[in-house]
Order: sequence, then structure tokens, then C-alpha cells
Amino acid sequence: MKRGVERWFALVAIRIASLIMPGSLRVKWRREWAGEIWARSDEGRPVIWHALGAYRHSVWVSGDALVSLLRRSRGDVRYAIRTLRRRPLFTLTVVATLALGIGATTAVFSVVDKVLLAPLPYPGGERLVQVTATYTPRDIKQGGRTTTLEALEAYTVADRNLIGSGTPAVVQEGSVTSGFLSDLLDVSPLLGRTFTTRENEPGLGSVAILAESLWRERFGASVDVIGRTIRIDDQPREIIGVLPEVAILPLVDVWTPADLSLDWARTRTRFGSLTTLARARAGVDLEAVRQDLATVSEGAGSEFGSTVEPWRAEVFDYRSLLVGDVEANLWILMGAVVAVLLIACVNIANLLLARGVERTPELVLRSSLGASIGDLARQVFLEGAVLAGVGGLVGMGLAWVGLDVLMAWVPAEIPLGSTTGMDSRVLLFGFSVTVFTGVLFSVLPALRTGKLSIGRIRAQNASIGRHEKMRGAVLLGLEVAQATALLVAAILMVTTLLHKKDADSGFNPDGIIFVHLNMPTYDYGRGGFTDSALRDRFVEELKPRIVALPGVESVGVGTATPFTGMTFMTALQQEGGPRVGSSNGGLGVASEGDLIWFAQLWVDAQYLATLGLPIVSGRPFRDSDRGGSPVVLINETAAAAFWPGESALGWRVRSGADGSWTTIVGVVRDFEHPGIPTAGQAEIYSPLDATPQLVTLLVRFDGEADVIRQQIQRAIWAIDPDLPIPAVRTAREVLAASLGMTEFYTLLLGLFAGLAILLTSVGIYGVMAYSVARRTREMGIRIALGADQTRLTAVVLREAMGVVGTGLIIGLLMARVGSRIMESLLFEVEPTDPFTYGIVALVVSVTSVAAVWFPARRATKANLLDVLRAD
Amino acid sequence: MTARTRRMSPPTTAVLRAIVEGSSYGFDIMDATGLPSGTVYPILSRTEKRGFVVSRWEDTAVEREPGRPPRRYYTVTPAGSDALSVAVAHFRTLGEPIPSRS
Repeated sequence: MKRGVERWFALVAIRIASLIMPGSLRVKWRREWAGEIWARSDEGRPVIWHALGAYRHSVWVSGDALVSLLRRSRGDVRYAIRTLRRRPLFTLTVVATLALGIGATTAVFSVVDKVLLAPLPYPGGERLVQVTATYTPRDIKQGGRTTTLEALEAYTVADRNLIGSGTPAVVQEGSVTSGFLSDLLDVSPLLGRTFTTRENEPGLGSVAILAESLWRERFGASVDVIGRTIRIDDQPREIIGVLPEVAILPLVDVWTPADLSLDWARTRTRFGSLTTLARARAGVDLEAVRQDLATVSEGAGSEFGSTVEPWRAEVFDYRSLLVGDVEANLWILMGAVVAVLLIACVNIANLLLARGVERTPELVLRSSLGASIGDLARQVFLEGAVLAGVGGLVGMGLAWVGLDVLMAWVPAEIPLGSTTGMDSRVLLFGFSVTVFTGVLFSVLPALRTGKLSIGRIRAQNASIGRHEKMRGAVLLGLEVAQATALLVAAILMVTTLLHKKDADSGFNPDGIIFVHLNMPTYDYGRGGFTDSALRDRFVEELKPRIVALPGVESVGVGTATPFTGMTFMTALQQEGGPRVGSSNGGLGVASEGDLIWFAQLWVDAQYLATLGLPIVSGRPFRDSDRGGSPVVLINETAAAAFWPGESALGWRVRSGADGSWTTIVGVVRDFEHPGIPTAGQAEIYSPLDATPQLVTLLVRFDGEADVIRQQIQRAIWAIDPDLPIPAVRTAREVLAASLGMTEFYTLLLGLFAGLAILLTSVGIYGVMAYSVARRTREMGIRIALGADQTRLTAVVLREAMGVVGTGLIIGLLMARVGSRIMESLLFEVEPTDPFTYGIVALVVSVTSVAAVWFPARRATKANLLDVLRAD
Repeated sequence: MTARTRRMSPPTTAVLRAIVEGSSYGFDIMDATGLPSGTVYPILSRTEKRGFVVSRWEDTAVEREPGRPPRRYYTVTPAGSDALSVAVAHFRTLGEPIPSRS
């Protein structure tokens, strides 16, 4: 019994092992092994281990069979190459179509892969989490010793003034804890070293590491840079290294060690700019980390005693945070490019099928000479495989070149976009796509050949079978449907972009320049609104100089512009209690208890007039408001949300129960712009009584922007030659930059849709030209019998347009369903916009008629002589 | 003497020797040579392709347990025999042990 069971298991194992073998060898092989197993078992000896030997043998046999097949195919491949070289136009069309499809797909995949799929380029990159807590990493580490995190570091970024190496400049400083670059990210410096733990101690970290870009731009990539001293704000720092770009913080120009005193951390944390990154241990999920940190925070609370508030840590998957809503949009692009690839495949399959019919006489000849149906099918398949191989190679070359172009278009808002490049994963993808497409368009023609019997091949006459006609029509219809859907998506995006560009922003963006100044504390006194005498004096001196410049009409001063960097939020108490109902909870409008939230700006009396943002009701600020009775302005959104159904004028707000009341004296027009996320929030404007460290000058001018820009810079440096001036940009430039993402998606979708339409037209033309050529006999007879040429053209057109029309309708339905996914990308255009659908229907129809027209005309020129020649 | 016969490996030599000495079935050859099935069977397949051995199925007239498949037995061809002699001579010349049971 026991022996029987063992034998049964061994026999089952052999049966499984035989599955990988070619069918022609399988039965014999299985029988031999079963015979031996059975005989050995009868002798009462163990057999189960022999099953392992059977596996090894089956792999060997399969490999051997494959090698033999490849050897046999070598001749076929050579024959396929010769055949294809004899038809250069056909070969070129197929290879170019395929190369475009594979190239575009591979290039887009390389972006999708780096941004969404590949692990972040750091050790355990897939386990990086962001921890938001009210304490520094040191507190978390010391307070409770986490069990789920293996590295925990933090960074913060801020704009600083770089002085002493050429013109003063504003640079982005990344302050990091000691292990951030070495332990967490494991970045190797190009030159020098990274920070030591000691350099993170308060007062000991007067060192800096340059980012590669800054090193090249300002220091000419000199290797002697190590040991030199630069001044970042007022602090001299010794350069100890140069670092390649850090993918997750690509804009950082200079790295400094973070001084981890509790004061530092609490100060930074209050402004919400300290980001703590951690690497979870392998096999630990987000929930476990959350629970672990909750335990740590309980312990930490008691350790710090009553001096600090209890804290709560929140944990997020870092990549999800980093990627945000880019994910869905990138998948839309990937979907679009795959659709183009499929259109390319369908095109090629159609061409190969058509060619298959055309080659019937050759196949007959080969079969007469002894080739089996299997040989012929293999030959047809190999031709497809050769085309796929060449197309794939050229396509990957195109992707390689195209990626550089694509990289120039990838907007900075796409996180990790700068890491995109060709690597083994992308190459593997390109190879897989090549194999997939090769199989896709080679199998149909090969099957068609395989299904033909020798008799049928020989009996086949020159006309197209009904079945074949149907198959061609289905493929063509599919192609038209996909191109239609893509075109709808592209036109919706183009409309979106145009609407965004033309959107009424509420103010006149022509002829405005923004000048952001960062007056350093070491030269101009402490930040905030205190100790502002030096800054006030600077601005008072600068304003008349700028106003005096030729072409300048007015100058306004404020803490920011409504759409750049207005991140200061303030909670105010509303006189007479909160009026916010649930119906008022629109975008950017929030209330909590008896507090209402505003985005806060401080502006001078000329600010709104210079910006051209009109006062809707009430009055603007006057110079007399400065230091006078406290007044504020609010925007339309705030007025509608917090004082629904009544005028907000005369009502008062205050910050907290002990703050003084300020009166609302005017309502300002909403600033709106689709590219700017802060648009549409409740805003409050207070008079600018004192100049803060960060201040924005608005300059309205009439003239050449570049000339004014240079004159403004000269005016600033005439007062303070050490004050760096970040980019002085016009409002138009700021608004245009905000549409970078939309432009990127529109450009690519437009490109893919154009490619799809082009390929589809080529496909329609190819199929129709072939179909008409096959019908020479029919056409000749019809004309000989007196048929009218125009009528014949109409017959051909009608047949083709039936297929195109069906494809068009299916495509429009596909677009109708698919456009919902795009809804978040669209602006002031419905996904079902009838105008778009109408335009697409028109474009597809006209293109298709043009593609059908020429072959149709040729058909009607047939005469009986042609028929006789064809036979 | 061809380059191919000169390159016959010790396990192949051992397998051919085992067949010549009377072990006809795959598992018997394994017993005779001490080589595992994963080595013996690929050698049998390869040498059969090279024409050194031929195989036949066990006679159906032989009385077998119901359900038991026939066994396949191998014999060495004259070409195989020649190749084996060359290989044995080669090992002798080199003063190496003639592969039989490992």
C-alpha cells in the first residue's frame, strides 16, 4: 500500500514535469519514465527521489528541442530577411510604425516607472515613510526607542542669501540631521564627505555641502572648492563636499547640518517646515509604525514633563505623498500611448494579413516543393518576428533619443521626474513590448496560414474571402475607434489649456513685475514685523527710485502676492458669532468653533491698485490707515462665505478673545486662476504697518519687461549691493509657469492623438489600396458592363465609410466613458462637450475619406485589360 | 577518430560501458554507474541522437502487471562501440582510471 502511494506520487510528479516539454516528445518521454519508476517500485526500492531526475531531464529535453528549432529556423530567418528586403516600402512602413509605437511607449514608461513604480532610489526606498510630529527625530529616538523604524532623520528647506562668491544670490538651503544623507539616503558625495554627528550639535556645524548644480554654476566645477568658505546669510561656512542631485529634493542648492537644539526644532516645527523621514523595518506596515509611534509619544510626554504639549505622530507612505495627484494623470498618458501602440499593431497585422493573401501563389509553390503547413506558418510567423525585432530595436533607439526631448518637457512639478532615464527596467519593458507586439501581429497571419490546407491554398483564387474581409474590417474599425477616443481626449485637453490661458484672473496681468526681497536679519534686524526700522527705511528709499524709472506707473508693497507664496493662514473671531453654515464650506473656506480661517496678506495703500484688483464694495486702504484705527479688507469669497446674504462692511473680526477688533471697510475682487492652487480661498488684507523680512514689490510698467527688470535690480543694488534678488518675474511669466503641468499633458496627449490619426489614416489607406487592388477583376467587369466611374467610387467609399463610421461611433462611446477619468484635468469644458465630439467626428471622417479616396479613384480606372493582366 | 569521440566525457564513457556490460534500462544504468537519473537520461538522449545507442520498447508480449507501462531498453551501436573503444584507449593513454562506477 505504502509502495503504491509512493509510486502514485512519483508518477504524478513525472506527469507535471512533462508539461514543459514539446507535445511531440511528451508521451514517449512520460512512458519511459513511468516504466522505470514502476519497475523500480516493483523491486521494492524507493522511487520518489527519481522524480527530481525526471524534472532535470525534462528541462534538458525541452532546451535541446528549442536549440534544434532555432537551428532549423536560422535558414527561415535568412529567407524572411531576404523576402522583406525585396519589399522595402512595406518593410519600411511596418518598421517605422512599430518603432514609433514602441519608442513612444517605452519613453513614457520610463517616466511612469521612475515616478510611480520603481522603488525610490535609496536603500529600502519602498519603505520610506514621512512622520509628522511636533518634535524632532532626536526626541522620537530618545523619547521612546521605536521598534518599527530603522532610520529616522529630518530636513527643512529655506531660502538663504549666498554672499561672497560673485553676485549675491538666493539659494535653497537644505538643513539635515547628520544621518539624512549618509544613513537614510546613502548618497555618495562627488567630492569630499557628508556630515558627522558632531556637526549637528548646536554651534558646531559651520560647514556646508554644495549641490552639483550650484558647484558647476558658481564655482566652475572646481575641485579646489573643498576647504573654501562661503557665507550663507550671515554665517561663514566651510565647504566640505559636493553632492549629486538628491532626487526627492532636487531644488536644494546647498546642504547644511541641522542644529538640533530643542529650540531650533520647535521654532521650525511651528512653521510646519520640518519634515521627518524614516525608513520602516522590512516587513513592517504603516499601521504598525503608527501604533509604535503612538506608544513612543505616550512615553515621551512623561519624559519631557509639563514643558511640552503631548504630541501625536502621523505616518504616511512617502512616495504617495511625493507623487500626489500626478499618479492618475501619468496613467492617463500611459493609457494613451498604449492605445497608439495597439493601433500600430493592428495596422501591421492588417498589412501582414493583406500580404499573406497576396503571397498565396508563393505559398502554393513552396508547398508543392514539399513545405508542410507548419513550415509555412512558421515562416510567416518568423517574418513578423524579424519585423518586430528590427522595429523594437529602432523603437528603443527612438526612446533613447526621445527621452532627452521628453525630459525637457517634464515640468518640475512632477516629482522624481528628473531621475528618469534608460535603465535595465526600461530596457526589459521595451524588450517585453517588442515580444508582445511581435506575437500580437504575427500570430494572426501565421494562424491564417496554419489553417489553410494545401488544397485550399491551391484552390484559392485571387478574390478576397468574406471571412478575410470581415476580419480586416473589424481591425480597421478598432483602429478608428481608438484614434477617435484619443482625439477626443486630446481636444478636451487643448480646450482646457486654452481656457486656462484665457481665464479671467480678476486683475490685469499685463505690465506687472513682481520683486521678492529677502532682507536678511543680520543686516536689517530681527524678522517678523518687529525691529523693522532698517527695512522700512530701505523700502521707503527704494520705492521712489523705482517709481522714477522711465515707464514705471506705480509701485505697491505687500507681504506676498495673492498667488505666490501666500501660505500664512490666520484664524479670527467673528463679531456676533460665526455665521458659517454648511452651505458655505466651499473651496479654501474653513471655520472651526467660533474661528474663521483666512489667508492673510499685509499690503500698502498702492498694492491693490497696482495689481489692478478692484474693490467691489467699500473703500481701498488709504495712507492714513497706517497707524490709524484698525481696518481690514476681505475678498469676495470670504464675504460670501462668512457673511452670507448680507454686507460684510462694518463688521469686525479679531484674533482671539483678547485681541483688538478690526473693522472690515472693503471687499476686494477675488483673484482667480486655474493654475494657482491658492485661488478661491478666503483672504484678508491688513495695512502694512511695518516691513517684514520677506517683502514683495509689485511694479506696474509700460515698456520692455527686461529693461525694467535690469533697472529695478540696479536701483536695489545702488542701496544695498549685498542684497540678493531672486528671479524678478512678470505676472504673465508666473501665470504661464503655473500651467506647466497642463501644457505637458496637452502636448503629449496631442502628440499621441496626432500619431494615432496618422497611423490610422495610413492603415485605412493601406487596407483600402490592397482591397481595391484585389477587386481589379470585379471593377473591370463592372466598367466593361457600363458602370459609371463616379458611382463605382461611391460604392467603394460607402463600403469603407461603413467600417469607419462604426469605428467612429464606438470610439465616441469609448471617449464618453473614458473621459470621466480625465475630469480632474479639465477646466471649463465638460467631458461630454458636444462641440469636441462633433469636431472629432468631422476630423476622423474627413481624414478617412481622404485615405479612401485615392484607392477608390484608382479602382474606377480599371479596365478589362487590367483584369486580363491580373489573371 | 573524430574530434567528437575524443571529447567523450567520463560520465558518457561510463554510461556506454554500462550498456555494453549488460545494463539495458535507464535505472539499471544508474545503478551500474552510480550516476543520478538527471545525468544518465540526458546522456542517453544525447548519445542516441549521435547514433551511439539505439533504444527499443519492451516487448508487449512480456507479461506485465496491469497498468505498468513498457520499459525502454538501450543497446550500443557499432559506432558507439568504436567511440567507446577510442575513449577507453584515450583514458588509458592518459593513465587515468577508466570511468565505470563513480
